Amino acid sequence: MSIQPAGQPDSETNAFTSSQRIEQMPTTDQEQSVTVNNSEGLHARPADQFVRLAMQFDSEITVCKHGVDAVDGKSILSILTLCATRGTELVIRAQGDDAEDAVCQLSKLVELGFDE
Amino acid sequence: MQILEGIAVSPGVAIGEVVVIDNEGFRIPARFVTQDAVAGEILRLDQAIASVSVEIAKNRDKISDRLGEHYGAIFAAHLQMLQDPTLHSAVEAMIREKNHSAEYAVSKTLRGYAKVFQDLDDQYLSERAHDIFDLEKSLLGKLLRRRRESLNNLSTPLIVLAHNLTPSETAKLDPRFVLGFATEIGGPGSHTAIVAKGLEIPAVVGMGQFLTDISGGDVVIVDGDHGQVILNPDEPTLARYRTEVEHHRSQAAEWSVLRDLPAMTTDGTEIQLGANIEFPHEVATCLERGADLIGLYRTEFLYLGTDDEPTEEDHYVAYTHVIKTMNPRPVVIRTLDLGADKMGQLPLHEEESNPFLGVRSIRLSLRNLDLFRIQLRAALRASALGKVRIMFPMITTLDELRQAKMLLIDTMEDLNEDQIEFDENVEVGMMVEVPAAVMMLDKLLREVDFISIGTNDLIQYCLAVDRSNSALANLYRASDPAVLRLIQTTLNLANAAKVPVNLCGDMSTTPRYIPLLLGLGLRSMSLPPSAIPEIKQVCRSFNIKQCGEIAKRAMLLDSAREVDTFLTQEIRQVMPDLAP
Repeated sequence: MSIQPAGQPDSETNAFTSSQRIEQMPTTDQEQSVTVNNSEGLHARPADQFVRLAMQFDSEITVCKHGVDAVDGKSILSILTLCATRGTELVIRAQGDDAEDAVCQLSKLVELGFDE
Repeated sequence: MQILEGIAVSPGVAIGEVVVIDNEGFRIPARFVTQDAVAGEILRLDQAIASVSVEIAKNRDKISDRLGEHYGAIFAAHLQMLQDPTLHSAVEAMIREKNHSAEYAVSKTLRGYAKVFQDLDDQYLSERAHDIFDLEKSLLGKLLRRRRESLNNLSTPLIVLAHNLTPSETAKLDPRFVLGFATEIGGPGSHTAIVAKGLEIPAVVGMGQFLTDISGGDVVIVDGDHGQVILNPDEPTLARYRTEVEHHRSQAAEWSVLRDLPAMTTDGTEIQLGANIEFPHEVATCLERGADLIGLYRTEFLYLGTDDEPTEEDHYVAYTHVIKTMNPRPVVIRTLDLGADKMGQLPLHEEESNPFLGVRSIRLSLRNLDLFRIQLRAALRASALGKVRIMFPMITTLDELRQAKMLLIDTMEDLNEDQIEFDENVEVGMMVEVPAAVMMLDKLLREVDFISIGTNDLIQYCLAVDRSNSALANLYRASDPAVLRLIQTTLNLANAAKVPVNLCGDMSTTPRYIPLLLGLGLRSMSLPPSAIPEIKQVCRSFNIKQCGEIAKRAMLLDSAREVDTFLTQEIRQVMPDLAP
């Protein structure tokens, strides 16, 4: 008995990776550059803290590494894919009514090396 | 279109959409759902996420209490991943825009993330891929469990494709909704095959690996006559098979005319045709198909599909129904014929490396006398209601037969003491299915009222072939000259001793073997009720002299292949319309 391979193109895989990146932000209400300071980098636990804080704000929040990969700041999976190790420079942007507060608090969290 | 070959175990043709059950018995999710089902899929997704979230939160709290916040935070991160809005919208988009099932969308999306992590140039992060797989497993577990439950109450007719179906799973299939099935493993003599035949569901087993490329909802044809499964058939093939389904239907109508005619050869020799059944409800079909008796009432299903030992009353109720419905026609009750490995009720003493050569059947009964006594008592009580015969399976030695009969006499005495009615003259017989029993048959025949040749096991034990091993299906053949010699010896000895001899087993369902068996002196067969009309037609088409000549020539041949070729030629000459 033999089976022909189905030969289904894996188009979904690519579709999803591109959709998770937010290509452009029209206007930036607030933004700030920060350096990742903690020893582990933006790994699971720090990323969790970051996302939990970000979610307390109504503003849309993005995080950008090397000025290219802007990802949703409220998505832990997207943050993790940034692969932000110690010393990585990140730009945190927020757009919305509480943008200023959001950028300020999130930057502080990163720069203070989370709770380590 | 793809045509896959397997082993035909239950005749008929089925055309329909498929459901797939994988290794663990889970249903492999359909890749696509209908537009109407999209909202439901998203609801299922949300429910699954919610219920996995609760579990993770519980773990987080437990670990935090035991090991501290720092460890609990690992689960907090998992929870965060599970509730990730980007993830959710990606999965939802796949369901909404591409009509994917929730399972498929979850799996595809999470695996996409896992791949991204694995490719990251960071040891720690690439290991996060395991977390993702973990989440996938939990979510699929939830999603599939709901599906799996729904498999037991199907509401539209479908074809079931599975790695394996256990006999009890097969038994639970509802013939109204299961049009046919095909499995990756299994052989022609497996219990699953027997059950499929009993339920009259077209089935093909021993396909080898074929499930990976099939999605739920694909259209397939299960051809139980030729042992083929056709995936995504093209229009001409579909049309051809639809004609065949029609043909089966009209043939069934034709055969119903045969019901009231005797299974008599053209020279006037009467052949007794009994029915094999597993479930009491099959008796109705037996009468419909014109069975002269229940030649084999398998009682295993009282023990399968339940964790509790069946009570005397369970046995009695089942037997009563069969006996009363068949009365005055006889019912042959065969005592438990199972391996301990198939029963939930008995503790396994040790792992058996060769269950077919292990503690099974009469050996099991004689080692669990309490269990055995319950069955014998119920069978004896039922004998007061009609014509009951009791048959012991897998007798290998005279001692086994004597022990079993002794216990039966003990049980009779108990019933007498309790003043419970039973038939004092109940006939007692044995299966001849171990070559040793054939060798000792002259002695065994003196101690029984009847015998029944069980070809399924006789072939297996004669040829040393595990009947459920699909790799050896080619060796497992009723037409092997060695098997035929055992049958010939048995018939000669039994006929000379004037002990009634019956043959049950799949051999008697194959038309080409019928003239041979009649020629060897067989006058009584027991078969699945569905096969009775066709076999009756065969009996009515030959005369005994002709059969004798066919048998004489067949017994001179060297191999199963030669025998099969010869017998096929012979039957085609007489019955050219018969399916091969």
